[in-house]
Amino acid sequence: MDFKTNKPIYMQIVDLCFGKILTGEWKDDERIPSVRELGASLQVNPNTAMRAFEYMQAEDVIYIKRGMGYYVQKNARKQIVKLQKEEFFKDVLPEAFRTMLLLNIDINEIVEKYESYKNEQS
Amino acid sequence: MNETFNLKRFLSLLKRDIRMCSKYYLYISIALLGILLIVAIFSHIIMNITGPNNSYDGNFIIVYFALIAAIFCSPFYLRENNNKQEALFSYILPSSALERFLSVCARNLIVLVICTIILILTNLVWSIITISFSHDLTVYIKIDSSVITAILSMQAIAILGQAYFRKFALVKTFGITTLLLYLTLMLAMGVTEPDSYFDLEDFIFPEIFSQQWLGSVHPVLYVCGTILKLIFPFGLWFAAYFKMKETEI
Amino acid sequence: MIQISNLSFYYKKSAPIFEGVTLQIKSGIYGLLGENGVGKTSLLHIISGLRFPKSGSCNVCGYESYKRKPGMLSQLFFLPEEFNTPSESISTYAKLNGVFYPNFKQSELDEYLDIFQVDRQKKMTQMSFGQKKKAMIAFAIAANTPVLLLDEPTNGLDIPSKSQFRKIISSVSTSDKSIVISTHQVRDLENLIDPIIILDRNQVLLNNTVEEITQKLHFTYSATKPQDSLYCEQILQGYSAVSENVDNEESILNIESLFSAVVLNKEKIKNIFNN
Repeated sequence: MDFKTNKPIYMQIVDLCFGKILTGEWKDDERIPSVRELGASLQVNPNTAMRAFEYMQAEDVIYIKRGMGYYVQKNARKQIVKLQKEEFFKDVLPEAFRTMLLLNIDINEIVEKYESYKNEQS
Repeated sequence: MNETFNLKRFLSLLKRDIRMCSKYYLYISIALLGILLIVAIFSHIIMNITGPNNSYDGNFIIVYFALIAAIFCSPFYLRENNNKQEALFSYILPSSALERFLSVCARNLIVLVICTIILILTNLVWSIITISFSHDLTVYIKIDSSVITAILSMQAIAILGQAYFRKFALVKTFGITTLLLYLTLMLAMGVTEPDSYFDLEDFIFPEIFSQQWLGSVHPVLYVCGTILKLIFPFGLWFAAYFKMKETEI
Repeated sequence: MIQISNLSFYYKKSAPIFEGVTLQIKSGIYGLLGENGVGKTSLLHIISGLRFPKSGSCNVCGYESYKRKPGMLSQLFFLPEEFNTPSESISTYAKLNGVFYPNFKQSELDEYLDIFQVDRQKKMTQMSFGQKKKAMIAFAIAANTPVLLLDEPTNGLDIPSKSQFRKIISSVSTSDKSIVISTHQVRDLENLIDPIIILDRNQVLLNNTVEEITQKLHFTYSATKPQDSLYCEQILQGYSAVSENVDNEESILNIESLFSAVVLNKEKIKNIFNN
């Protein structure tokens, strides 16, 4: 079993930015800190910050306005949810399934627990 | 930008270096003034005791020694090599070797200027104060080309010594210079005037630098003497420049 | 910007520090690592023209470093690990020395001094070691030289200052600057230094970007001891290990483990990175 510290730094930065967009700290079509500003505040190498921004731009979460900086894409939230869902299915679930098989946990047990969790939250 | 010499850069370097040495200049001025004061007062007392017509030069030897010590020792205190950690910032400062060398010379010339000014001032003061007294407290120094050469050469030797030696530079330079000078004098005197003797005064302002003495012995020596007078300080300065250029930290 | 070719250097002929070392340093924030006494400081001295190569060459911004031409020196600043500051304030020091660096910005110096909370008017000889260091670091960075060499800059800095230092370095690093930080305190500079140079007696063991390193090497944390690792260390949560990245998996660089792995497997590392 590997501990979940395999995510490269730039992906951790991406996660941080996604978090800010999802919570609404960074709003749609609003300017976000520049690569340099964010890199400095996180105390990382500017190239690493650049990689994070390039990734987010490629996934259409942010866009660049020439001479002005980076802005949150409209519907970025939707896109982020989609990406994180993919990640959940690709990375988190297989781990859980592996454990379930090992401990002989039935899928119905999971459904039960999920339903009671949902009830608790509402 | 000229790599070898840039006036603006040189002036900035001078400003920086002189500022760093300002404390030393203050100390040396105070020390010299103090010595002159003490010597003058002492002479005054002595002359009062021994009588008005007895001129007493003895104490002025102390003044000569003090001045020579100041001139010879200053280059060793005005350099940054004393401490590797201080010297480093001077080494990486963007200036050419020539500018650095000229700065060293300038800093040491200031010591000469200080000595001259202090001497003139004190002589002036004493001559005013002692108008009522019957004896003379002024310090006499004969200034001619050979004396100037001797002073500059002595300083040049010290500059070369501080560039050459890392530890105990003052002691080493002084030792080697004394040895060489002694041998040269012995050689010169022995070769030209085997029967003469030399006293302390000759050691300080050697007569062999004096034109008249040289001229009286042999015209060739006179010419040699002139050439030597011109070359000696410059030669030492060149040697110091090249040594500074290739000194690692 | 810095090209070292076939450099050989020693203090005593019987104990060479570098023998035929070739190394290139381009723009970026380089971490210079190596065991004690391996020659990190000597390398920085040679680059800044403080010491001369015995053979080979060190070329900085087009100049041979040993010549100490002002053209080169005005593009370089070296801050040693320990130093004596003149007995003047950083304000005065900057006024007298800033003029030698064409890109020196007084406004940036003021900004950094404020961030570090250093008293501008206080005589540096009256400051604590940490304050002195911060004052000179501020000056070094404000000089904006294309080449900036820092020898153990975080040594002596308190925790908040280390963080401020990282922020400032991150914000000033541009594609036309080479910043070389020689350090033992890798944890202080994690995530900041990229590429990483690991120096050894007589040779350069590593000079690669973090991306290249994590492509060729796999850094793992696991509950069980892995087989076939280049380096393995037992930590609280299990085992931290470094192995060859045969499956091209992504992982996060662990600089301390990298260092141990490299030093213990010199030949193998050379093969891995030179193929």
